[in-house]
Amino acid sequence: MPGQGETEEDHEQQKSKKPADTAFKQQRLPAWQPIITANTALPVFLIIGLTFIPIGIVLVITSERVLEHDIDYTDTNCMSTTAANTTCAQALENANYTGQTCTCRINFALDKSFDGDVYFYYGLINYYQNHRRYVRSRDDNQLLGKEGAAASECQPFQKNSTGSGKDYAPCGAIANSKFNDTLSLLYGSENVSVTNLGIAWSTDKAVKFKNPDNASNYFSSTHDKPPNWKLSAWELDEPNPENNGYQNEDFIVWMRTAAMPTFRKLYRKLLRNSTFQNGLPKGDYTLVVTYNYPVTSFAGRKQFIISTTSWMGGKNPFLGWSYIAVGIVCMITFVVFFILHKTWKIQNRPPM
Amino acid sequence: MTQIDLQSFGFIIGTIITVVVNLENALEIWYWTKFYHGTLWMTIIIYFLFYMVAYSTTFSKIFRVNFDYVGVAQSVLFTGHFWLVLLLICAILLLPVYCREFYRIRFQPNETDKARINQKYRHEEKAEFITEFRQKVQLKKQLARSSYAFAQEEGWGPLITSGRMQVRPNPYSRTSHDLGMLHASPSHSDNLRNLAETL
Repeated sequence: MPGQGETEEDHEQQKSKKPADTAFKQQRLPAWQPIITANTALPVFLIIGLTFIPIGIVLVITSERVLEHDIDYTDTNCMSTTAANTTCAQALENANYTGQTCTCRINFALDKSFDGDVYFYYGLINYYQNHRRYVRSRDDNQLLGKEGAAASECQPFQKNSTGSGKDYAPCGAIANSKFNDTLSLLYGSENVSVTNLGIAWSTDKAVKFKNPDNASNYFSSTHDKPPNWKLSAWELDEPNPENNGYQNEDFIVWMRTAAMPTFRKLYRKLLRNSTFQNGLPKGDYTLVVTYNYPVTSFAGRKQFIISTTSWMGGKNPFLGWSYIAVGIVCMITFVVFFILHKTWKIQNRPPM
Repeated sequence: MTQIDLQSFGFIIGTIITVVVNLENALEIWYWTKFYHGTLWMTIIIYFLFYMVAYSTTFSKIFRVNFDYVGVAQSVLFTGHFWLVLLLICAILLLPVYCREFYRIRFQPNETDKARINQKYRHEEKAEFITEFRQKVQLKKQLARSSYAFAQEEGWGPLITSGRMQVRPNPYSRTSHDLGMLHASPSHSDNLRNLAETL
């Protein structure tokens, strides 16, 4: 017959197109199927309920043990020591934000002694450090001390276009808005010993920030300080060159942009020597504020926070209460399903 | 007042999403082959390994890049707080799916579910066995004195023809000859066969 040769070859080719007879290719893989019956599901609910409630209780207790004291010093609390009857916020506004300084003293008392390690934070409210354009406004290469012009991402804080035309060091909106209040504590008449080291992330300090070579020349002559800064970067902590310039830990902490509009950042740590060996004792304290940072124009607020810490971080009762709530819901589900399981019979069903 | 920074927050959200979505998929899947096991667990493991490497300081030193996320994986993954949050959110998001599946299979099973449960627990086999066993015991009691030797005695004829001696068909058995005749009485030859077996 004509074409018989081709059909034989086709037959050969068709034979070779057939997939191999393995379990994988013929979809015969051994498979397992979980079937959720009452025997498996009810214990799951019970176990989850019984483990979550104790975890929640432990978390709530741990959070309750953390002691915290905050002082809002934005306006009414902080009365200027120089001008009569004006708050520091008002004093800055009266001077039209031209870089005036205002000092104030706030007296407060701790009714419990804060034992252990004590941390001091500054907190800002209604401050959007997570604004998209703000977060991008930095130059990571410049912060590593590399040569080159400041990145265009830093606009409009890239270079001093009205004055000398030099690049800002550090450039960008994040650096420009660095928090520059000074907060110190007095216990009676004694200064509370604090340290400004060890407050930034160790990874940040190790790899993200490095001073350029010949730093004092770099910061004073070849580059300008950002427009809203009072001091240049090389004057941030002159006694300690490791903590100066870009490597200043307050600066590093500020450059880690916060996620929420209500945030706090670590400012100082208590140095536990002499009177403060066990922490902060109970008693009367005075907070001395050098008020430089204006926040009232955007309805922001500033706080000074004293807090101890636990293995879980700061005071956070919400997680504990969530665990307890989920545990209770699980237990209720368990009880409801158990009752339904025992009472609801289905027709034509073999007993389970 | 939170202390968390923007990059850590984003990383936490991304991690929780990856883990929860994979586990939710696992609850929906019907055929757990070894390939699926591999895909599921390797996705989660590789996610964590990848970000631990990509956000490590060693990586950024080797490649001399500086980016926002350096050190984020280290600061997030090594705190107990994060793992507690992950566990809680997995529980909150997966338990409703689990409840729904349990409710559906237990209280509103469709035919496929009933067949699967039956096959898993072999209910029908057990029920058939029990019924047969019970019938055999009953039959033994009933036919204790119905041996053929006594068939000529008076009274046996009406007893046999009355139908009390008939073997009730086993509703759980699946023998081929009573397909479609589940409630019919067995034929006469079956009856004699049953009688003979019990002797």
